[in-house]
Amino acid sequence: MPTNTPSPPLLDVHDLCVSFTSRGQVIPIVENLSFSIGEQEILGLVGESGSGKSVTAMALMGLIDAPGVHVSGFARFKGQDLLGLSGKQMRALRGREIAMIFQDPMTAFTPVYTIGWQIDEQLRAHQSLSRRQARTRTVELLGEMGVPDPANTANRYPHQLSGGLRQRAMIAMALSCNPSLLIADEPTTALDVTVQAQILDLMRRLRTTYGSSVLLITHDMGVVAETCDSTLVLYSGRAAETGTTQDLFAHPQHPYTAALLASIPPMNGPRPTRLPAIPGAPPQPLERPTGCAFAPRCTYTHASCLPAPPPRFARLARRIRLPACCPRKGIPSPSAFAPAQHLFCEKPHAVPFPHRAGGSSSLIFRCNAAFAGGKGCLQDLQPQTRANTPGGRWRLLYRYARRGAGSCRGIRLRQVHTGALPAAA
Amino acid sequence: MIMPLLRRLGQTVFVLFGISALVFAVFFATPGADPTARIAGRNAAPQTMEKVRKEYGFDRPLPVQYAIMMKKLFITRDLASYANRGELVVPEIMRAAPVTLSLVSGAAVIWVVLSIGMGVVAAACKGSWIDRTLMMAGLVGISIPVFWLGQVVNLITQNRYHDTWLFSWVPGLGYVPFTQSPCGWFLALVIPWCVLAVMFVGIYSRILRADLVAIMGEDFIRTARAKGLSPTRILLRHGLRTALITFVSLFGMDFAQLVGGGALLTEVVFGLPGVGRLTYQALNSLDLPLIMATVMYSAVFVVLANALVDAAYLFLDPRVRDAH
Repeated sequence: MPTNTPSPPLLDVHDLCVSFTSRGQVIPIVENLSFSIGEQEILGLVGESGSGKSVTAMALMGLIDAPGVHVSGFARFKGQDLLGLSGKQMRALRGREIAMIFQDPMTAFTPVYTIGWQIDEQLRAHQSLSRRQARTRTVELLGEMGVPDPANTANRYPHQLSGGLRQRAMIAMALSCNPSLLIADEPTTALDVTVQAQILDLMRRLRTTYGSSVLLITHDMGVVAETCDSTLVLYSGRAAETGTTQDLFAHPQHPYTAALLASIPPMNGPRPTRLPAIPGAPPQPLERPTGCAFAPRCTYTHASCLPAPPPRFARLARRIRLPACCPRKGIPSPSAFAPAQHLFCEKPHAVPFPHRAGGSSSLIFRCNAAFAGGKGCLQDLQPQTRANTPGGRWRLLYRYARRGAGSCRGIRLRQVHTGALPAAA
Repeated sequence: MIMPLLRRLGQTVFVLFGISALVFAVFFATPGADPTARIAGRNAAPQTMEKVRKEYGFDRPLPVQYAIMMKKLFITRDLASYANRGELVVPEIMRAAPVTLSLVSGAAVIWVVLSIGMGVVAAACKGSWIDRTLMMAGLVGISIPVFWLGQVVNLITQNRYHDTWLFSWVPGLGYVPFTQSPCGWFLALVIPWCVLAVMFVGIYSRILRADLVAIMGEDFIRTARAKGLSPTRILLRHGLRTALITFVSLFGMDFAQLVGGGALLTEVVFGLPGVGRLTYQALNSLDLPLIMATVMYSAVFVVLANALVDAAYLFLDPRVRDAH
């Protein structure tokens, strides 16, 4: 993909860091997050609770004003840096250019005013409209959002509406000034599945009807698959993986993404007795390892993951797949996870850790102690030996030898054929 | 909208009945005490005793006694104080009520305006020295006993510095009816107003600040900020408007109990012939009919104010409106 894309992205976030100071300690919440959203694109921001999704959105909106919170980085939106704007400039942008929808429509409206009053208020804050004009527009918006009897609904109080209606009203309010970017912070979490589907449908249609880009924050992979063009997986305040949704779901590159996908019940095939779960819990912000934050829970931890954070990916161009720690090819896809362990655990062997190795399509496997001790691996891999491994057939390129011919710390394999997985031996 | 108000009115009448029965029972149906002797006063002649017994029906069953008492209080209004040589009690209260009402209303205006101002400013500057100073001032206001403050103010304005330019305008203690001289009324009351308001300013500003700070952390405030509204508008139209619900209910209760005689100390200190002072005198001379009447008057105000607060709720909080 060429580096000079024809139109610059609508929002280009670079190296966003959010941290706060507590008892003299600086606690990082979001670290070096970079992403971009193009015109009319829907970007999904996925992660567990506490991974920093909402904080990212709040930082972009300039809504974090708690004392001791430090936001750094760069967020170019339509030519201006969001993080460097004054309060007044930011206010003019909020609600007009960037609008936000919140998770819980039950508490997001001021309880003492009617829905219509609150939408009018936003309209009149940014446009010079008379009361009557504002109300006409409000009713129109509510109607477009699929609210039945919009003129009457506008005169109702938030508590008189159902959750779905409230979220529609929320979206209507967010869209009232035709924002170019809509940040939706878990817009469907508090809703039941049918309403959720309707709301998602509504959001997908926004880009054609309103030309809006959407930053969709969610922890629901299903929502992402259904809605987003591209996806950014966040783990413990750091980007784990980014790419187009299609690509990311088909070939997850980061073990965390793969594990997340693996924990979704399969729609076809035999029903698993237990869904795979990721053991452990995300680290507390202060206890994040220096290396890959996921390393303590990862089955594929490699020595090179531990000492330093994963290499920051070069921003070549938008939509290019830039995994944080995995090879470009040779995929630890969810289905490959279990057999991989099985295959390699039968005998003294190399612990499978697919590691990025330069630009070649080869994989480095870390050896476990037994293998390192020279007892052999995969029936004594020799140079030019072919081995069946997850993801295809591999040819041993070389061993990483260390002190003595019999022992090695790693082996390097080259994929020679992408075939079916061998049955677990 | 009308039905809940009517229903509330019905409840009010019921509560008033309960209170009147209770007060009646305490004063007139206590076993072992003869209400006749108490009403007639100390060392009354047997003829007077007989007259009182007949008049109040103390030789008849309790419900009849209660009915007679209520009739005397509310219908014929000829309940008379024997301790005070036949002074009619109800007109006496009616004369005292405007004084109390003037005192409390003026103080209420001061304390509402000041506490809203202080609470909002403190919440807006949360954590700064302005916030701390205002809240400290509020705490001082709460801690000062009103009778002490009144006496000190009297000492300064009436005595020590009365002849200086600063306080030469202060009239002597007492009350000037509004109809007689609006200016005199204002001058006579302005110091008692301030003294009475001091404690309430402290309480209300602290409560309002706490409420506002809590509300500013709510989701809907975040929404309001995301809409791009100005901080002032968010604080006043969204924050303060929501916080007013608690504020109004508190205000209703305090206002009612003050009008009902709770401003007793202020009235006594400043020599204002209000209901509180009347109660104080009645208690001093153990004037049963007067006590009965002032307690009933106070109860009526508290219950009515309660009903008014509930009515105000209906306007302030749409959620309450639908609950009925």
